[in-house]
Amino acid sequence: MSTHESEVCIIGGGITSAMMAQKLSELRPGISITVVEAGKSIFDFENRFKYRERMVRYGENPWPGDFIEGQAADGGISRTMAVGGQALHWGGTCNRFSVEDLRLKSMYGLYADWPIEWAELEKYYCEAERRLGVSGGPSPFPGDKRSQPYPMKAMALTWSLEKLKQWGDKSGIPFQSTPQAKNTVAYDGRGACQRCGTCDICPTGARYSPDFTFKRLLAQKKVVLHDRTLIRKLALDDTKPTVVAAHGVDARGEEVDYRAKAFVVASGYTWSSHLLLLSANSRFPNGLANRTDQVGKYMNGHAFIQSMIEIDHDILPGMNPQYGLISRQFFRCSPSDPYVRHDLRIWEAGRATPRAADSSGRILLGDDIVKDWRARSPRGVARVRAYYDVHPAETSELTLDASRKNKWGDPMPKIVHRRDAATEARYESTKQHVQSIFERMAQNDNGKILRVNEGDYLDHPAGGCRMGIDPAASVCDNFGRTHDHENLFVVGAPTLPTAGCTNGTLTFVALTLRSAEEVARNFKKV
Amino acid sequence: MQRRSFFQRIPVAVAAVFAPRWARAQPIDQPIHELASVVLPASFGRERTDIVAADFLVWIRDYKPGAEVGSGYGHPRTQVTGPSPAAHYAEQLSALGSPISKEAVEKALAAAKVDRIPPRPNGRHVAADLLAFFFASAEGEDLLYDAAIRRDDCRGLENSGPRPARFS
Repeated sequence: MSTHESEVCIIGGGITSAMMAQKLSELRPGISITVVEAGKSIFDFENRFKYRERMVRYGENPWPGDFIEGQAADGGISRTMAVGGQALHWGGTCNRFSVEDLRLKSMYGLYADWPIEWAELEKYYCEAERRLGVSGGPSPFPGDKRSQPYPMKAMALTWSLEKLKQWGDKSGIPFQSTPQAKNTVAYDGRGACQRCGTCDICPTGARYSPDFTFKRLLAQKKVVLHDRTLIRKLALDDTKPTVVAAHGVDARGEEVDYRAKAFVVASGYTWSSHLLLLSANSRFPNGLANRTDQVGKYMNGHAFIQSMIEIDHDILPGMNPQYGLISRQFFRCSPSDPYVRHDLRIWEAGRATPRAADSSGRILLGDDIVKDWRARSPRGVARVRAYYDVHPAETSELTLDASRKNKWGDPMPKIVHRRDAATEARYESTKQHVQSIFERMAQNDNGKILRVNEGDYLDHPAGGCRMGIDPAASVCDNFGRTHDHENLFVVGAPTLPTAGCTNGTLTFVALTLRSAEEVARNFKKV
Repeated sequence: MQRRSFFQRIPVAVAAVFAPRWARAQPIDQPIHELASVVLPASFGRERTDIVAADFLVWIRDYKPGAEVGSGYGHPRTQVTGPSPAAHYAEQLSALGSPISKEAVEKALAAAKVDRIPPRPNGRHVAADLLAFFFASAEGEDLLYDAAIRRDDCRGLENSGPRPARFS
């Protein structure tokens, strides 16, 4: 067995790990930081065009080998496990939560308040936007306060988005461009977006991904990265509730130990709770940081309803397919009104697919296919989606599934989302509210709702180690420090009490940057 | 077709001509070109259907069975590409006779119960697969929308505001 010592050991290699490592290395230059990631490093930026081409032409995975066979959660939404994590694939959307997200109990009598003020979080939103490189424009809503402008101007609207914005605005719902971690000018050593339309793998590097941060930190020798090393258990000191080691297994199957003064679990919404549960011992029989049985509880995310709406506009799909519009009008809800909060998004969409036979069964070839397609789908199509706020029950949980084990014999996680009673009670009225908005939008420009469907999973998931003041109802404080172990932190997605009603990554990063300051306070400035 | 797009496709066709002999010598090479001239829009012109045919042959040659594919989002699954869809192309092309007629293709597609163009070539019939290859491509979409969107090009942020030029 090999042993590695450092001052800080970060477990996980995704976006929050990258931000934690970067900021810690700035706050405490010279501090030794080891990052341990189960997946591999995919640092071959020079091959991204090749991977992109294979994805476009054959549907191949643009991040080859970004998963570990047999290491997957039942109920997870992504299998990605690599240095960079899910933010290798992400679309770069960087929406902020609103004050209401953090004040559910005090404003609406629902679920719980977050143990942090929005004004405090806002400072870190600005920092997150600066570090990730976010382009965005001002909000038309005064409630969307900002203390600093976006680092970059918003991406220009395409022909299609300009038409869609005109259409959306006619409903009295102001839309704006969605803020994204995509460069609109050269920024932080990366070029401006070239509108390649394949943000799943950005071949130019204009969209932020954590591999850039790790490569820079490694080049500057500010971190040590051990990839393809799975941490299986955290171990405590014999007498104190202090974490002293992380036990893992490396790519060769050899056992490896990491010893550090502070441990930061930055393993995302699935693997953070999973590791704490796997780390059960005689003093913490339900897992570390789990004296009050809160680890793996309150798994959250937001639900969504989507509609395809045909309109009298010349909408051309593919102009910048992952770029869309957002309205934050429904982020706010008067406490005197029935509770419903959601974002509202619009993207360009394709029309019907061409067909090889008409309704009578006559085979179509050549120009007849084109004529048939144009006759069937002469108008533009908008994809409209609302991510709406739902609150988890305590039993919305991640558990260890003894029936599914990895090759090391560890039970794999099973996630089952359950909503609290108040959320269930307002389900029909929420659905009707969103449907009425789709109908309101379809009243303009001869709109016709083609179809409406609901997501059958919770998107942008989080939770499992929620932060709070009361140790009986939470796993960690608002810095991510676990209530039970002074030197053990959990950062990012797992700490969120709720997932709000829009993409969570910027919030994960903002909270992590705040946690980094607290971790740094444990170490003297050199 | 935009001049620029057309010239962008030429290297593909040239690459096919200068491909290794084993690839050039595919017995399906000439019939695929002939089939393309029958099933692809005539308004596209023979020169351009030849370029699509050559690109399709390159696509077939470079297809990798068993390659990882995107696992999807929401309900991820480990998936790989299936066997090459081209396994029966030679016999399917042969059954179409020579010269390939529109009627022969219609009969073959009806017999293969092809009523929709698959999202990607799937091996059910070479004619349907050629249509799938073309209409799923950036050029195929540009033809349908009559706009040089150039979906697969890295086009820069400038000039994304105006409507793309007509494709035809």
